[in-house]
Amino acid sequence: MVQHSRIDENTDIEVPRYWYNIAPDLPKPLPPPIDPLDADISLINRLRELLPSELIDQEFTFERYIGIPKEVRELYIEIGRPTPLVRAYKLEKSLGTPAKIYYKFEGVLASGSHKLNTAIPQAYYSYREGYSELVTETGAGQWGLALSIAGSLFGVPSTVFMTRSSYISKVKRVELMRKHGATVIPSPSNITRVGRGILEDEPDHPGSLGIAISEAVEWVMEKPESRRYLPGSVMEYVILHQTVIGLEAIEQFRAIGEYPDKIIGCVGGGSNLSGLAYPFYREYVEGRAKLPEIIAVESSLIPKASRGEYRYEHPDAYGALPMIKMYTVGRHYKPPAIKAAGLRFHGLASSLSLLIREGLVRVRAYDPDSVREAAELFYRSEGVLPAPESSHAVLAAIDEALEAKRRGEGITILINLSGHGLYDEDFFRG
Amino acid sequence: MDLGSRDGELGIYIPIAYPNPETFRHVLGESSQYVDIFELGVPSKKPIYDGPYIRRIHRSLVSSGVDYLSVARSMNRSLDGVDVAVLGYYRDLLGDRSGLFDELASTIDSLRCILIPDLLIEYTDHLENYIDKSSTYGIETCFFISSKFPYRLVSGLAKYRPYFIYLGLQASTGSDLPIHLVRNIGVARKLIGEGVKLAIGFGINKPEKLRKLLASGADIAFIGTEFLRRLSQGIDYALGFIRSMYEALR
Repeated sequence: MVQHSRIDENTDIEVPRYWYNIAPDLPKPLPPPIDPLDADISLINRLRELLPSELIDQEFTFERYIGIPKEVRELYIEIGRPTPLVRAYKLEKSLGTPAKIYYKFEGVLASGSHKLNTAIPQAYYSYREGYSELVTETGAGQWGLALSIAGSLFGVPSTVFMTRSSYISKVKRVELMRKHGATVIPSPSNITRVGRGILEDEPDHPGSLGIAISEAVEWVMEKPESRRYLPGSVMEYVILHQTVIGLEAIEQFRAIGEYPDKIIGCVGGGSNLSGLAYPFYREYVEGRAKLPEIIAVESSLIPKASRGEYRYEHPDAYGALPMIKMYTVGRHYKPPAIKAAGLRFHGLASSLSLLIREGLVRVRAYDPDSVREAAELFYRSEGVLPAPESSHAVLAAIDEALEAKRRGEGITILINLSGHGLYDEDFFRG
Repeated sequence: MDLGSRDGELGIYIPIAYPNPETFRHVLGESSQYVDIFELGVPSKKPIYDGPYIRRIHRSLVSSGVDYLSVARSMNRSLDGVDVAVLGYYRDLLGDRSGLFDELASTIDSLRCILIPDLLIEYTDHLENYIDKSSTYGIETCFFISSKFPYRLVSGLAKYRPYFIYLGLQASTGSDLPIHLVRNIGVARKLIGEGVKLAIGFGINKPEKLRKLLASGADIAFIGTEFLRRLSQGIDYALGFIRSMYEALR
């Protein structure tokens, strides 16, 4: 008999009606953002000119649950939510493991990744507040593409500063962003002061997310009356929006009478792992379930959590945004041009950093070659090509499943397959 | 002093010895008729949760080398019996080589508590030490919280019977971000219950805002950056502002 991977009960669950804010349940207070000690102006107050008001409010809300606006929820359904929870039977079989491996497949969303979960509300609030240009940075292009799509749904065009190395290698995503009316600019660029400064010193600079953020911020500051800066990760409100992933997954597990022992996700800024894992953390805090082991997987070439420091740092390379307390390798770190470009960020979201600090999230770092092998195995087994970033989580799941085999343990593993890799042919070429 | 029937209590924040010892004492004396509590700041080299305006004041006080302990010793008469909460960062007050907590606790006559904004954020493990110290000097406790605090921690603070729990409304002093402050005050009030005073501060700069925020469930409002900005432009200007805030609560 053929075993069907997709779980039929998926069709019975609803798209959540609220987002979950973890701050009220953290083991310790979340350190506030701060201005650098020598600042003459308040970078915190500058957020007024950068972000839509509603998103600032969500960043500093004291509420545990925030209702999802009707318009956003309807769009969630249109773009493919709820996403399927899939059991990777064939991967399990090829590993010969007693472990059950599930993946929450965000790659089925219209942009091919989880990024649409926050792109839609961010574009919605910007549109509702009357802004006419959405500005952002992107690494591999998943965030840029998601925002371009979300912007076009509301008739608001996007300007995307894309790290130069990805702009060259992720051609398909550049094309798709443009199809949605976006202006895509390789970063560092010559249209901002920050970009020009870098290009003068190093004309072939591959770019970094930190630099692209600085350029996006500068671009907004030139015309704050009509532009808004919309980040794809790191901010707490971005994670808030991503909790739809975990909220759905809990219901899906409930429907099949299972519960994960381990939750695994890759980390660039940390939003996809957090979005999946935080609702499970809530179940633990409220005494409804055990706490799964949460594993954050990063690239060994950008080892912010495994080898970085826990301290205040700017999320952008040039210190235009307030400092947040996080694990970081420092904003001046020049990440190598790896193909999992979504992981080329120097820091990690504040709440996820705190959970790592408190020992509630474990960290693992992998090299690109091992990650690619894992992605190929997954593809051969499941017929689904994971994005290079998500492939880090796949490798960790394989390691955990093999360890379970060694120990003879029938554990349940859940990974966030945050995106597909169909536009990442550069990664699979090696 | 009878401040009459009012809709809440008013406090002002001023760093000790600012802008100079003489004016500082004068301002305390003149404003004591309008305020219920003085929040006196300990000049710090690293006032990390403050905005640039207050940081500049701290920097100037620290670099001026003013002996603020002796200023604190000499200000009791100017306080006119108004309650005092001292505000200082952990390292300055309870750091390894600092005896400042003890000095201040034994110096100020009407001291009710010493507020350490980073205590529960960066120095959670030192909470008991802070409580013991406060008890040793016969003063109460008071705690700083923000909207990013865990509910369980906030609810648990009431058991220490603090003089007040201070909710920082903004990410830093002097900020004015579009945050739903009334909602956040409501959540804080619900968490701490009715038996403990809820103080608020950060970004309160207008009488109508003061009135609205106090009406939403807070008991004490502290005015800092706006008062200090006006003080830099003249004592009467600052006192007139405090009077208008005071009258807004009548």
